[in-house]
Amino acid sequence: MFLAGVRLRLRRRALARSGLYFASSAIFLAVAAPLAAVASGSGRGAAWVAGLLASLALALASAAGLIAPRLRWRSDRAVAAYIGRREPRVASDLLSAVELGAAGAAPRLARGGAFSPALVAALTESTAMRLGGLAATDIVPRRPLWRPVRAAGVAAAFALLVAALAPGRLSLGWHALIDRSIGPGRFGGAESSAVPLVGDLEITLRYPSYTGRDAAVLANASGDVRVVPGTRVRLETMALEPASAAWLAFDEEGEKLQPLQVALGQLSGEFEVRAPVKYRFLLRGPDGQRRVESAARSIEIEPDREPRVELHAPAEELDVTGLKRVELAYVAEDDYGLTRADLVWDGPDGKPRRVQIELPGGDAAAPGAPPPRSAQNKLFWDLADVPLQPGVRVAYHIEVFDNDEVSGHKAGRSKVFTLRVLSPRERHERLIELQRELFENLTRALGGRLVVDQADGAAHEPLHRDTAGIVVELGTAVAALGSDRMAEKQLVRVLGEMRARLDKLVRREARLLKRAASRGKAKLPGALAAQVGGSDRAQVAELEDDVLLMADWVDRQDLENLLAISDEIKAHRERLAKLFEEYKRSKSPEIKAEIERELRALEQKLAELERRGGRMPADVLDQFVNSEAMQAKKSEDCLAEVRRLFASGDVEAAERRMRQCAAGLDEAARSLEHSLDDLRGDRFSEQQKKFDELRSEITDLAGDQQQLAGEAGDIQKRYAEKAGDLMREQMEKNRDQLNELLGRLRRRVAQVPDAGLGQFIDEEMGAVKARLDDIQRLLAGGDLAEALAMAREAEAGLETVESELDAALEEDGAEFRKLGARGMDAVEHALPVARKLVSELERATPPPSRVLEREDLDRLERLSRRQQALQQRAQRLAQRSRDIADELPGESGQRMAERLGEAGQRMDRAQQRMRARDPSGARQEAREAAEKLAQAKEEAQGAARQQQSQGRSGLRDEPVRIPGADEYRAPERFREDILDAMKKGQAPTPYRDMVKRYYEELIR
Amino acid sequence: MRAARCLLLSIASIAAIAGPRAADARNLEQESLRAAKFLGSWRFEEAREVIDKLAADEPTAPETRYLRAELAFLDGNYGQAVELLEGLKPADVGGNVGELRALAASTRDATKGFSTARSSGGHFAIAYPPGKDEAIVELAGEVLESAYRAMNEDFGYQAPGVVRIELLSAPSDLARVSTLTEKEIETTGTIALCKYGKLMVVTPRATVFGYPWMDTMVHEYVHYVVSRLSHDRVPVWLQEGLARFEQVRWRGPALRPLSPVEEHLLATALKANDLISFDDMHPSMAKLPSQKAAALAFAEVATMVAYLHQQQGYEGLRRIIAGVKAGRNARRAVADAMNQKWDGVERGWKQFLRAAKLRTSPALAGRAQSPRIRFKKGEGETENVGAEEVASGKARKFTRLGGLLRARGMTQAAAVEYEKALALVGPSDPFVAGKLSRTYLELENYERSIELARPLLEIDETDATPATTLGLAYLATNQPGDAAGAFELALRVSPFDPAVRCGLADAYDRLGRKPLAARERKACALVR
Repeated sequence: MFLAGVRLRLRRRALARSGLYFASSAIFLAVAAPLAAVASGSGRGAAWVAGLLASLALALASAAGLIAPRLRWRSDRAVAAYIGRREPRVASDLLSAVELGAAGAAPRLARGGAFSPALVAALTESTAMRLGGLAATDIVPRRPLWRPVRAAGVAAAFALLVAALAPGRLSLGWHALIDRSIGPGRFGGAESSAVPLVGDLEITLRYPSYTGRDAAVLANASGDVRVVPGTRVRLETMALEPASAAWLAFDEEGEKLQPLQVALGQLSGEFEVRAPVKYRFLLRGPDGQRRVESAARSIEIEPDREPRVELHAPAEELDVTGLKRVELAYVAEDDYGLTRADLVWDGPDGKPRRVQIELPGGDAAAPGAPPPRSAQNKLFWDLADVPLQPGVRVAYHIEVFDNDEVSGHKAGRSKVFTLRVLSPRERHERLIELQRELFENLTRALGGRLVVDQADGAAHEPLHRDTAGIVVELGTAVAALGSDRMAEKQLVRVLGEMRARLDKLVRREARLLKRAASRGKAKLPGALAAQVGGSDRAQVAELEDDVLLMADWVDRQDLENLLAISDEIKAHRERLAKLFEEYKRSKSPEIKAEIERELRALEQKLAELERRGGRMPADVLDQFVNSEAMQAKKSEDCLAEVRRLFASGDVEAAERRMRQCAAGLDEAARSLEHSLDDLRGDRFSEQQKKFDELRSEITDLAGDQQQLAGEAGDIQKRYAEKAGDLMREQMEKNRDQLNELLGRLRRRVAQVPDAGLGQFIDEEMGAVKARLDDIQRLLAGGDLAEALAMAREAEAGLETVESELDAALEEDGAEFRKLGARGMDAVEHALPVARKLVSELERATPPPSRVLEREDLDRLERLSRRQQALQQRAQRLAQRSRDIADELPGESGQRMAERLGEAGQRMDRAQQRMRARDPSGARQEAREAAEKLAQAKEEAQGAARQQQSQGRSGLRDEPVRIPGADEYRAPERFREDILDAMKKGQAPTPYRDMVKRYYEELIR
Repeated sequence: MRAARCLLLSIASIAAIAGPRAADARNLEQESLRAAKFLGSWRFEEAREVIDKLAADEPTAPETRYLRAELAFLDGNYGQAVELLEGLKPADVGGNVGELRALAASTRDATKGFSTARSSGGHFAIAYPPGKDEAIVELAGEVLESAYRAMNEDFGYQAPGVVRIELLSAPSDLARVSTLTEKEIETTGTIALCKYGKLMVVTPRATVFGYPWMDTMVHEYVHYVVSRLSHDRVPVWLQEGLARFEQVRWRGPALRPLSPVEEHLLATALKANDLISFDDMHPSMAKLPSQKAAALAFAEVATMVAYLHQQQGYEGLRRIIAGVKAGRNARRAVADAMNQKWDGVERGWKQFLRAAKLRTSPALAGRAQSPRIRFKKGEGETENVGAEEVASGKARKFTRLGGLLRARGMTQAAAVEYEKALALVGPSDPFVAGKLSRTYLELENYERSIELARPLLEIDETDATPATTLGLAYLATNQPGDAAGAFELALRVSPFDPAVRCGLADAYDRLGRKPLAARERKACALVR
């Protein structure tokens, strides 16, 4: 009995649970199905699906609530096991009692020989007694029903919510579901109506949010609209005839029907448009008759166009010298909004590389702000960040992306521009490569010629062709080198001569081979073979010389090229030193970025130096280049340390470390210069010998001149002491006037910009200011004569600056011109004051002839004669430098001659000052002559290897700019104004028509 | 050990100016002085005892920390040495802290990632960068163990602990772990050093032609032994003489202290009365102006020790070292050992040289003028490295052409050019004959190849080029015994040449010397 009761409860509980789940599903379907019918526009389809789902749910509920419990709880043993799980205390006894009491148990136990009916009865009884204390409700609790009850509750709540929020839609959906009136055939067999079934429409267009467009309401519309994909279209109209139900019938495949709400003849409905579509109204009259409009209305798609971008660069095909920054500008537009802009260029592996660039109003805009529809910006593309191969053309363009969230972000690409990093050095490098190829061909020709059998006419043919080809290549090389300003003139001559010699030999061989060909035999006859052999020997001798000559020149140019890179490194370092100074002072983020950029550029140069150095033949490195010259790797490590320190904010330490790196690099550069000297000394010994001799003579001359200047200085010193004593009274009278003049001069000089005019001018101005300080000090001490000397030096310094600025203004770009013009203006104003100061000091100073003792006057006389002799030596040396300029390396001869000429002029002036018994002027001119001589020697070293000027090293490395970059702003401004006007809805008068047209274009 | 001497001076001067202080402080000063003195005289065991005591008594005193760092540095624990100096100012302990910290840090960086292997006898710990250098570690251990036994025989010295050897990748690393500059290393061809109680050796892999690295390593070990025996009092010239004389002892008796090139150098200098004075060899041979000057100095001191050895045997050499250790001037110690005055010793030495009838070899003139050790500086073609050794300009031209052609695979044409050069300088020019011999080997003209290379090896057994060529030619003509002999000579100089290691493996294989063949096969795979 107890077991039966439990079984019944278990079955009922299972039935209740299934019933509740089924009810939940049914409630949910009752709401979801009509909504789906409305959304899909197919009431029938939705009804089918809903019916199917409902049947499935019913089947599952029946299976789970009726069939499964009936099967599961069929046996007493299963029920007993269930009770045992609920009440473990009776589990064993109950199960035993059930099993022992079962009809089939007895024989089994009897076989076991231990059957005792009494014991079974006792067990059954005691178990029944124990079960008697248990309640069936405890054994089969109702708690498991809570979950399905909750599910039913949630479904009911959902249904109530939907019914409350969208009763019309729900009702419409149910109508669609249960309406059996739509039959088969086009539009469900509806009758076609030639006249419209509805009146004018009111169309509400809700655009996708990304377009940023407000909803538009089109009153009295025909129903034809043009929308952006993703727009939700709401239609409202009046039925022109009584209608109990209405649909929108779409012409698309499947003839989808969208139910409309019908209320007092008023129809309404809404749908989303992603593609062009045609639709008509379909009405069902109260009599059940259905009619559909014969004329379709259309919704067209207004495409969201790809964004457009226009790139402006300095040139379509740009050659850039060094790791510059290139100014780029772009103008981008999109119908609805721009989200991103990228600069894209071809990587060395051919794959595109991209970097996101600033899009004004884009990412950086305030959160929630609409993306800009147009943007224009300038940027500086820093080539130091881009691993560009020198000489290789790189294509680049800009890509912008719109904000289309419906169809995906579309990209617009600008026109493709190209760029090539090619400095004079890199151009020269390509010519070295050409010579290297030539060298390889010469070596191959020699190799073939050395082992050819003189009697083998056929074997000579390809050798002949190769050598003839070399003659052509030599001609090409000569022409190319002729226009290369870094190419050595002597090399051009050497190659020209080589070409002529080889050409002659090739012609001779051609004649012999022609004769051999006319014989038509594989083996040449003795006499002809001997002649060919003679030609071979001559060619071998020539090629042997040529191969080595070419190898020497290539090695030399490789080494010179390393030095050229080293010069570039030096220029970067000097800029870095200035930038560090400036950064310490200003802490400007711009300067910080510039420092980081310079460090990167420097690292790139060092890597290049290492790469090129490592490729040189080992015998050249071994014999001429010592390890100190090959410090690129070490310097790279050093720079990495600078970078680390700078990034950590320890600017002082970074600068200190940078100075150590610079010292190492200087040492390496000096070693490399020596290496080149050694190589020239070994491979071009005659040339280097002459060069060394000249430099040595200049050194001697500079020493003698220095000594002479020293002696002139001693006389000036004595003169100044005596003049000071004599003129103390005069000094007191003139002090105020002189101080006033000096003050004026200081003010003028202070107007010259402190930096940015180039290293030389900056240094010269520093010297001028130092002289002014000296004058002040000397005037205070009453030393008029020395003050005069200093004033003359200041005047000379200003003159130098003036001429330098004059030259620089002719060469430099717009940015420098502005600064340079300011400097020039200040110098031009300062010079007259300086001259006035000199003349006032001259007036106030007693003439040396009155002050100096006879002995010193005689000394001055003797000095003038010595100066004359030195001047003559300088002239002779200058003449010799000019005469043998072609035999000297690079442009050293010409450069030495120029500097010697300048020194000679100074010597001449010194001599004049000596004769005029002006020790101050004499000392100054003599010193400057000595400086020019030292300069001659120093510059000769660089000129010998065609050292290129590294340009000004101002704080900013001027980028390559877009010519006339300002002009294109006007039209863009114009476009922006239009867009602004649209946003505000207040177009400026001139643009009003355009705005109107624009809107018309949007909603046609 | 110079740093230890500086420490000694600085502590002494601090003590002098400090005046009377507390007893503890005095004790610290005295003990620090003692420790520094022991360190400075290579008495590391005694120094360790004192420093351990200081570490227990005055663990935080800058002197103690410095001395502990110094010990850690000597033990090869460079990171620990740097850590121990943390918090001390560079100027502390007389400025030694800054110096030691910089040296320890740069040594730590230069030896970062090194592996260490023990020699078979366990007396040497060889630290090396993993990779190709592994190919010489076992060999180095064997050579050093052999030298260990020889030094015991000759001087009765056995190193009490494990001697550390660092195998460095490049000359720049040697500069980082020592006080030498790269320029000095390159100028003098210094490739190894014995300093800070360890041997520092640049791997032959860093050179174009290799160098006699086995002898060099033993050379440095002799320095170690002499420094330990004499408490580092033996002056440089005598140190170098002993090391140069003894450097071959690992492979046999010290009979012939000079190579033909050195003999040529010494003979020329003797004739021109252009010998380098013993004073000029101070403070270091590495400071001499050129590799040539260094080579001449080595030759001089080696022959001086050979002379002393001839006169007094090892007993005499031991007496000299003991005399110097006892505080006698080296010249005096030598004179005492020889029972005559220094002038007499010098005269005797010059007579010894004259009696030796040193030979000048014109063919070696170029080689004597050129650096023997060529450091690798790039990846470009190496065929003409050393061509400047060829004395005749015209022959040099043909040699260069031969090299250019050979580097481009035009072997037959190269042979033509080398033959032209050889006709000008004769077959004893080691560079030209060596290149031609190798070229004929490539042209499979083994007979001519052997004919050219064999005399070269007799002239200069430290030239790996003819040795390798001979080895290959003998192998090709099925003479494995001769091939193994030639390769073994090449191995002493150029152990990273795959031709040497792989060729030697083949030769040992054919001779049935399987364990050696296996060793060389492994090395062959490593260096290939």
